[in-house]
Amino acid sequence: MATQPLEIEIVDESVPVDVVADALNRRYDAGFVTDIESESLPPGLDEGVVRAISARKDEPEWMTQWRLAAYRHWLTMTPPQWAKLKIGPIDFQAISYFSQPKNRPKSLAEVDPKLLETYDKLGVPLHERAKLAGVAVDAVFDSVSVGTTFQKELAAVGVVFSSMSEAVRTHPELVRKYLGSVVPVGDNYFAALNSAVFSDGSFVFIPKGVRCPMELSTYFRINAGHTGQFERTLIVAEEGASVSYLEGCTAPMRDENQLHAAVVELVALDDAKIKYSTVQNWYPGDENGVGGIYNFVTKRGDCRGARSRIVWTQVETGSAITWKYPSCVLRGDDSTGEFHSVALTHHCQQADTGTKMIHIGKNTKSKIVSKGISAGRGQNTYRGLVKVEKGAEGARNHTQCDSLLIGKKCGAHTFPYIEVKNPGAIVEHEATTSKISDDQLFYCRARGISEEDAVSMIVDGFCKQVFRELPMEFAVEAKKLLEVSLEGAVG
Amino acid sequence: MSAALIEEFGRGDAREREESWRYSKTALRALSQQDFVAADTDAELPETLRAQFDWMQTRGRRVVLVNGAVSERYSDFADVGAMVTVGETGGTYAVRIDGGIDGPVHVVYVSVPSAQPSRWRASTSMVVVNGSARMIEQHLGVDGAGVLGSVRRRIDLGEGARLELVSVCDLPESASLYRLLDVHLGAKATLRATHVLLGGRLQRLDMQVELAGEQARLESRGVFALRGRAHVDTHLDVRHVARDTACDILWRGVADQRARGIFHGAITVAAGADGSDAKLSNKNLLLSAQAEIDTQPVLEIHADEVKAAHGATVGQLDERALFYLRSRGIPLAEARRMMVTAFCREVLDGVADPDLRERLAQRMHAALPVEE
Repeated sequence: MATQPLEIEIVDESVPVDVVADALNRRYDAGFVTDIESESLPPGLDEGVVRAISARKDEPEWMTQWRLAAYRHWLTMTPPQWAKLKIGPIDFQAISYFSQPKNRPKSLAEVDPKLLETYDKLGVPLHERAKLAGVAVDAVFDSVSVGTTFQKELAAVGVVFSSMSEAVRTHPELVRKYLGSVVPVGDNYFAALNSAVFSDGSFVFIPKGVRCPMELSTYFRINAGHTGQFERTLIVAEEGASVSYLEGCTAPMRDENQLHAAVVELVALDDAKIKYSTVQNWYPGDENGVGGIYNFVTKRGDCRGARSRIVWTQVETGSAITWKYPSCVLRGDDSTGEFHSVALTHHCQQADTGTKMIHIGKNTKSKIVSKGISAGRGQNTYRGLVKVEKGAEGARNHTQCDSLLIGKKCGAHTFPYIEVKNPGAIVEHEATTSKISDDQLFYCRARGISEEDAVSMIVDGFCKQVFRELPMEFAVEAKKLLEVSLEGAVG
Repeated sequence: MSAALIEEFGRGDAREREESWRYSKTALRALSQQDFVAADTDAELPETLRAQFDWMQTRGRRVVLVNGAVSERYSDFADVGAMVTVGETGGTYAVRIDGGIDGPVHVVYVSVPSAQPSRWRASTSMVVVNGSARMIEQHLGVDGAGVLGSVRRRIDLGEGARLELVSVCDLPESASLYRLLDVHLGAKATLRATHVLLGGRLQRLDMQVELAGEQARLESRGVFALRGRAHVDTHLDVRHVARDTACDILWRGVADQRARGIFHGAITVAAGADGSDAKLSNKNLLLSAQAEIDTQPVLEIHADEVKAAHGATVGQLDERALFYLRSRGIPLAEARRMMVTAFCREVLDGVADPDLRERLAQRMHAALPVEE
């Protein structure tokens, strides 16, 4: 197959067998720790910590107050219990809420070479490679953004692409106007926590009528132990603007569970278009479910303007637990929301993911395609809401969610909620669950295709509909990720 | 009081109760604002009501419960013979069928109001040890101060047993009813159930089916057709526990005027229930801007040799089909009624007895929403 890892292709008889075995057993490529001096706040959370984070980032007073209000609200809340997940207790006082590489760079040229190496290993194009790839990157290491490329080129057309901390300083009026306007401070437990302690993330602003000239991308990496990452991303597309944004994530292998509670807000005004793609490859924990990232994320897009459009695409292969529902509030008339998802759970991974489509405006349309793959003892749940409010005359929704089971001990679950209050709406939902059949495998094997390749071919076919939505580089990466994640799932 | 009703009608822990009453909590709360007195089990049944259940073909095999208690006066078990036993043990009325019998057993529940809002509770069980049986269940009521009835039933089908259950719930606007149907199917047992739900203030049907024996099979068809302020909440919960079990679920819903219809259909395939085949189809028509339909098809799969699929839709009548009918001289109201009838009719295909099917079709046709 075209995407087969290079190591295997060059193997010949002179290469010892265990090299092949090693290559096959490769599990989590991004599982290395970069040895960089970092300074972290001591573990624990109180008002002092919230103030300290705010102070380190030189934030204005209103931002500090905003965080404190969120923190105080968070104290009154209890962790939600409704998901179909087994979550070990989270000690919020054992987490360090801020960690940054010690030598903060002033510009990209000063970035610690070790850090750059890290991103190189991960395949993030930070320098010239970026130019070739035509992707502008904001890389977030633990809690802080370490470099944003192509800022000048983007500024020339009026696009703001910077880290959130920078945006708070350079574009306070925009941040103040839009931050928390899609996901309010008290929206849910983890969003409130994020609002209090968020460290960094990306801020994107596309002014009226501008088509962002390149793909924007963020790479998140948790490096330090005992830390949590709380990034906050805000993307605003003004009238007629359009942007495509990619997000990738990795973390080192550790036998503790690390918390990642991000909030992503998208705002699309009249005729604007935002495409948000995620390839999530946080460390999933080992075969026995030890360690791994808790990925509890609130992502919501607001189609505020008429004819606006938001497209979420996600490939979720990592994390011990994934718990997120990228949603669209279809407020503007004729606005469109889409959600395309592939979620894979292997070993002891758990995923409870899906979307919410809230139809408020007239002739709003939404489309949901969700593909769940469960292997090993993985538990995969699709949970979604399609709600058509009274005024949403002519609303349309089509939902398709399919589950693929590989193995005897895994589970696949579907919990759709459909609520319709407008008689002019048409809502359709269909779901199927099946396994890779022995017939399919036999057919492939009879044609000389190994079992492992056959499985990845079938899985690839199963996910094709979603991969088509990804930008090309990501589609290749996603395909590879699935192959690696499924190693050892059959046989 | 509302909390007490959720306590009484809900299952599982507090959170599960909340969740399962998610769409009907307000309706239940409104209901519980009243002070209920115990319903009169000796109430007289008006002639017009008696005519609704006095069917020729079920004479001699009829059990009538008035406000939850078996009524000697109105029941008629003359022909039930040795194969069927009807009796009371510890507050539970049991119908036990030991072998195949001719003709259906007809169980009628009647809600008769008192001067003020009243309540009744009934508990019945039915065991089909072997052979096949048919049962018609009918819920009727008299309009008035309002009655809240609750029925808990258990149906056990032994190995290879077969039951065809036809259940019609046709309530006046003031009556409310909570029903829990607990079904246990042994190896190779088959239950074919058809539910027709019409009217009522608040109607809740909890149907829990356990496919406990290998090759057990459930066919469930049902329809709710609502208008006025009717509120109907249907919860189906099917568990595949044994190997090679199958379920085929087909439900339709229509809501007009200010009615609210809820359908929740959950299928769970437990670990080890390999070879299970599960199918669910739920389609709904929403005919008015004040009506609401909520549907929630759920799949929980813990085994891998499984075929499972579900589909749900909410929509309205096809404008082009309506236009076609009108262009052939059929008035709008009649055209709509024809289309709604056709939409619901599929559910009745599961009823084997043509007389009964026709009777149901007529009753449904009369109750169908026809608002323009």
